[in-house]
Amino acid sequence: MPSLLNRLLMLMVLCCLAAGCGGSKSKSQDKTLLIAVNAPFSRTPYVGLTIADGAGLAAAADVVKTKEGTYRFRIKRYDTGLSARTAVANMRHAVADGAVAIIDEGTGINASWRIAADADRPIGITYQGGVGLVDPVDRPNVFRIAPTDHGTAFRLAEYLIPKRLRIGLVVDDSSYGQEGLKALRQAFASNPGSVAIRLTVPADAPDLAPEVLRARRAGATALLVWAEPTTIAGVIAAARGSGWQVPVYTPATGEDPVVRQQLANHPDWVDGLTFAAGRPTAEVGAGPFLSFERDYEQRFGVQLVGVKTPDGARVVQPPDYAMYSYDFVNVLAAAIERAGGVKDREQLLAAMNQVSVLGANGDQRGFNENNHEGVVDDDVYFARFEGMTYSPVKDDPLSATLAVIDQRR
Amino acid sequence: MKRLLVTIGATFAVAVAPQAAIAEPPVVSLPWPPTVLPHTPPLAPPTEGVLPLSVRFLGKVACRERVVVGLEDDGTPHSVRALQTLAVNQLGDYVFAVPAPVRSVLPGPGTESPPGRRQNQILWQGFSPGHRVLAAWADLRPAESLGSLPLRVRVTTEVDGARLGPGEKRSGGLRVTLTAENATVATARSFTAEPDPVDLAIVLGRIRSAIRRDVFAEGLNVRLHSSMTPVEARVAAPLKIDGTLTFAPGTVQLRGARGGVVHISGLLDGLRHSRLRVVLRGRATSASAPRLELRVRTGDIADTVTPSQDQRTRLAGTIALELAYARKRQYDMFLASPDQAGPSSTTYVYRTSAAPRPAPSGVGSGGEGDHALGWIVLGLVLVAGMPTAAVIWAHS
Repeated sequence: MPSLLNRLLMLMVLCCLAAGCGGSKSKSQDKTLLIAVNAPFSRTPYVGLTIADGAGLAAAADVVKTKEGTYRFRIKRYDTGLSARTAVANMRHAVADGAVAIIDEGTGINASWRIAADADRPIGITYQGGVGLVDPVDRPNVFRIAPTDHGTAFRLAEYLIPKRLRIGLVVDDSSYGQEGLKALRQAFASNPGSVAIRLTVPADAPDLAPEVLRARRAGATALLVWAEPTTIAGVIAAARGSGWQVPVYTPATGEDPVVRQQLANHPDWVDGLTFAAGRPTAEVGAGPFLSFERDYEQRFGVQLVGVKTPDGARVVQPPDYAMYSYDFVNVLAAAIERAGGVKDREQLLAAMNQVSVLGANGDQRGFNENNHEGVVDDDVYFARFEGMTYSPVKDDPLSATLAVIDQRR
Repeated sequence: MKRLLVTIGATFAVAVAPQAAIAEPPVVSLPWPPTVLPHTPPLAPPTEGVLPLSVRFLGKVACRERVVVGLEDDGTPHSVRALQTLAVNQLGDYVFAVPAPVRSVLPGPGTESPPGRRQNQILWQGFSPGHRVLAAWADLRPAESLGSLPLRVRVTTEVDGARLGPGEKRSGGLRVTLTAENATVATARSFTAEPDPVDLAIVLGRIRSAIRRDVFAEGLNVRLHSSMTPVEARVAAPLKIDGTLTFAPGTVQLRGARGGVVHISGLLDGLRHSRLRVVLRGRATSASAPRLELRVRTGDIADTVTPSQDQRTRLAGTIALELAYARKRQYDMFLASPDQAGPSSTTYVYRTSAAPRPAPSGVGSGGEGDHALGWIVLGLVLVAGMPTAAVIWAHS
């Protein structure tokens, strides 16, 4: 019996050691660490590919030398299909595959974070900004580099309320829309007079004309649409189709190529659409982002939107969301270096709070013990479409300082 | 004509250059405060090292601080909390870290952005639309903070000649002694010499101007017409003190203490007058030790330089003014300001309060120890419980 116990203990120790390695060795004796990307590749390919490619760009370049040896990274994609259940199953697979960290679009995080937490694996959310997704106390392994819904909603309120508009708040019934509704409620709580009407519309509705008409009859002089890209396109189509030239504001989904693709037959309908997103350039200028964009395009090619400017130039989508997953991989690499390797998972998680890197847009990226948000709320800017491309607005102090990113090819 | 003037000027310069080079007296800087004065305050935790963030903000930041020192009944400090309020008055990005031995950091009143925390750092990052207030409450580790406080306090409460213990109440002849001592005194390396009068006047003007504007004095160089003789200078930050000693209502009879409240105030320049001692005598009726609350701020620097003084005396007075002002600025910045040369002020509040209880070991650690203990308990329960359960089941 004692010998059986000894063997079991030995087996457990060996298993722990094997799990601790979390990667494989290349021919040059460098160890390769797996980074899982859990994103909706099949349902919203733009989002999924952007996240994976940003991570892949950093992973290809990062080499971390530690006392445990030299580490490189490789990326493995797990498709959530926007299903929380699949996202959770993917998280289990990623941990079982020995992923050192998981970069996640955000779907299903409320259930999946615990799987990673039990294995002391950091999760980096790089798209969804839901208020409750990140909590340094209750979810110490969850980090985010993406604008928060809270920050976006408050910046939108800060921008719109002084314009004395009567805003029709439109959200769809997707989880993205419902998270946005929570943030918008908080942001406009102290200025209820600015809100003409609140509407929740079905995310897959073929025609949103009745809802848009309700907003118009309620006296709305602007629409703030927090929804999936197809819903945004539907709202714009319904408004413009009825001859209503109401200004439309959105969160970052407004820049999703899908919106322009769906409105490609009426390019003028897109003109004036204003969205809030994380700034792609910082005060230091466009240099860092252009350098990142060049590297990105050299490796993955340009992201063509599929529409053209009025003078016939092809429109490309700047890889602004890709920079978040790119930055997360770099922060992870810096944390591994600080922790001296990956074998002590708790030390690696602690190191995630202590390091900063220069982000793709020139901003400092990092987390701390109080805050696991890598994009501060101040960094939300506003951009307006004109001729299928967008540029920062001039009537907001932050946006006015930012350079225009070329989107023509 | 222009060419002629240039030629004459060049000729003159060549002619006088060798003489000027020979006669040129040496130019020296007044003692440089960062090297001749103690390095703290502002607090600089020993493990701080190089900040991981590159500081990004070139504009002026105004700093205001409130440092709350918790005291035992006898004046022994047990806790330090600091509220730092920074006013960023410029459009643009800001990224900076304030070094501090922090245990926790919380948003302060009126802050327009939440502070971050790292090991020995308070972090700030964001965008200022032209004006932005950043405020944080920092709970500091006493061991690394208490030594940099400007005032040492001692309170002795005796009833019938015997000391009153913590929480103890007694009746009889009361004697309370409060001692407050300026702890900012330091010795700095300095010098004496025969300075150039014009240079000295310029330097003195710069120091006085910096004092008026509450900024760091710079450009303090003078030519000397004699060799330097090293001397040591005593330097201190003057402290203005005011506050109260408060006894529980109806428990003491003290002359001049209406409602059991004794007002205290004083100015401790740290050199001629560095200690305040207050002795109170009266009657105690079931009295406990009084509660002390002192507000301490740095006071005005004494400017003793006059035109009638000889140049050596004027130099000594100018250096004393420079170093005293630098020492005062150190205590006006208990936590470092991101703009070390900018305006700053600090109010220290010394207050009797219950010492924070140390957390029981293991609680809140969140470490494996908690789980290990749980597993051990579970194991013992199973070991003891299963045979018992089996016996009960067998006989049921």
